[in-house]
Amino acid sequence: MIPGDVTFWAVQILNGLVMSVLLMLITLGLTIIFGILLVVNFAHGSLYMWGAYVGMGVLSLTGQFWLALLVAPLVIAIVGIGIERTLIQPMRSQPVILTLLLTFGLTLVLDETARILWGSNPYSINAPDWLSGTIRIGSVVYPIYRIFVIGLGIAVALLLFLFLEKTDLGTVIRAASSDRETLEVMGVNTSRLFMLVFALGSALTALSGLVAAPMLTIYPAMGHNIIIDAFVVLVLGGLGSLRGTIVASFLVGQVQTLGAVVMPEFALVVVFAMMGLVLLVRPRGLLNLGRLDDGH
Amino acid sequence: MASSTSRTFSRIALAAALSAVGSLPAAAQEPIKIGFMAALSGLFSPIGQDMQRGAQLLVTQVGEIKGRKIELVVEDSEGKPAVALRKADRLVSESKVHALLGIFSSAEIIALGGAADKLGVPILTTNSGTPRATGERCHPMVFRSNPNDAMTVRGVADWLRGNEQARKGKWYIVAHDYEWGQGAAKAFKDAAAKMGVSIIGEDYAPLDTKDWSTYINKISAAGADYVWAPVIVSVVTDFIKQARSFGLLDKTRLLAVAGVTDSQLEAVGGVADGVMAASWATWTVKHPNMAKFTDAYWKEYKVTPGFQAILAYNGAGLLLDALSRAGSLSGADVAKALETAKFDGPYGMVVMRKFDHQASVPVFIGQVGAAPANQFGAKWAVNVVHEAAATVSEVPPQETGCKGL
Repeated sequence: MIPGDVTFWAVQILNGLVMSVLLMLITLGLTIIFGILLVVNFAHGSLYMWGAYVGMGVLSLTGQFWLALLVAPLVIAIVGIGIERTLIQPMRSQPVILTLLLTFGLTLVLDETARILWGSNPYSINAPDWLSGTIRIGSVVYPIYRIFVIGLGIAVALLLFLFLEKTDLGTVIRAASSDRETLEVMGVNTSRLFMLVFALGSALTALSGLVAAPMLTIYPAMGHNIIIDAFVVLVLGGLGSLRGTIVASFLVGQVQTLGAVVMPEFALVVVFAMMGLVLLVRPRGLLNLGRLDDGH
Repeated sequence: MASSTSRTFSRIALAAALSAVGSLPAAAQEPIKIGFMAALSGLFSPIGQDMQRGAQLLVTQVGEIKGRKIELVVEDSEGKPAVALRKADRLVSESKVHALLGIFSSAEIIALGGAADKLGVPILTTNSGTPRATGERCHPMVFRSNPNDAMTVRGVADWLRGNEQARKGKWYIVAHDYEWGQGAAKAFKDAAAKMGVSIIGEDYAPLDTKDWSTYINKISAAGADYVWAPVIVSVVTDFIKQARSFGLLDKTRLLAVAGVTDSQLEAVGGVADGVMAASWATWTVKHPNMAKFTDAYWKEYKVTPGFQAILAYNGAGLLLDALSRAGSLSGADVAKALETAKFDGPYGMVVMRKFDHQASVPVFIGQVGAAPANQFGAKWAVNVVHEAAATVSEVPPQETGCKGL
């Protein structure tokens, strides 16, 4: 039975937006890391999980959700720097497949460490009081926290674009994705640049993990499911394309949530079929922008 | 050659000496080994750990049978049927266990049942719901000590008979889309049809569902009063949290068919307040044995006894009773003894039924609310609102699908 009224579909589209935003935050991190370092970071899902745990820690110490939103990405950015310096950087001259295996192994280490530190019992955090409850927009009643998630995601995406388009560092990052050698010849410290990009990507996924936590349960394997969706988005968007990633996130989020109503048996299949099709006919992604956008 | 002969001789001499001594002190005899399997890693591990603690507690308390030490040999099934099969094989062939206990999921017990002839030891599940394991797939070596889903539904039906509001209410089904979820949904639909309970919608969610908002939206749009939710116990709290945030729980009552695990209840706190649970057990059951059990459990582990621990304790009780009465420790003899096993457990007597190897046990309909006074520091608990006695929850033999064992 498919409900016919407008309210139902409005709520459904909002639900799709929430999923889209979570996917977007994770995948933007994956995308910039891939676009610039050419590293497919399997451990990204584990950093998502760590973001949730660290945020939970800050929340239980201070009781301030907004502080957790700031501190968790910062802490995970530092963890990211550590990973990049000690593991990714020394592997730079090695074949891509080796870094892939390395980050996969890192996933196991990070997940197990979380299990040792926090145990395997699930944790749950609640949205702060100022974001609890529901809001009425016309006939639509919707949780305030979910509206906040949508707003936060859009704001972060905008900030990221402004950073890449309007700042010098952003320009260098974009340049690095298209012509690394020239940049090195011009005297830019690409090694430091890679470190910063890895930190930024890690911070984004940590933010996503923490933002998801009041809706989902926190447990050591919480990143496993979502990272698969993130890889689908990464491929659909064209590996390394920021705009492609954003478009693909919104597409996948909506297909999954609307699909669950219209054709529940096929919602999952459709997403993977889309990925297969894109790989076949448009290997540079939906927008044909593979690798990081060159700004045009 | 000479040395081998002398070794053979000395072995014979030793055997003769042993038989002359008669019975040996306990320490010198081989222990009785019970293979224990549960999901001890991954998402299901909190439940697996509860199960292990429950079984181990009784084994520690009883200690030995006829002078032979009882030993629990533990393996992690990861909640996966293929792994369960491999580990079961190893427990039997390498560790030489005399029975298998635990078994986390329906998929695992069905898989193990298929290999039961080869394994050759009794398999007793304390935690799987599918009626098929003791129904059409019943097997001389397969036993179950927890209530199955057909019994759960009979328990719920019994509660509905006495609760006009719930019986007249509009029900919606949201089930996990696999063997157990579908089975529990169908069992409820059949019972509802008989009782004239109206079901206004049903949805089947993929196993990896993270965002339940679509289903919450549909339930809300349909105007349901109650939701029958056979959703895997490890993630049902996600569903509950999200339903709460949408305001759904203000007007609609959720019935978690697999119950709500106590460790998760503490994690989500008041968010689950008012949610109903078709529970197979809970530490809030008022019974003199329960106080003894919870005291011992707390003393040993310093955690709240989850309901899966109570179930595993009962299962271990039936198995130890059988092992103590069995003619020998052969698989056939232990299985034969299990058919008439009894155990005076935390919520009273549990009795194995010979016909289909399903234990006769009550079903508790509970509701999440403030916990009664306790030593665990638990603020929330599943409080019993209705107890369907074993005589009520019991499925008549001819309705089980089992032809008799």
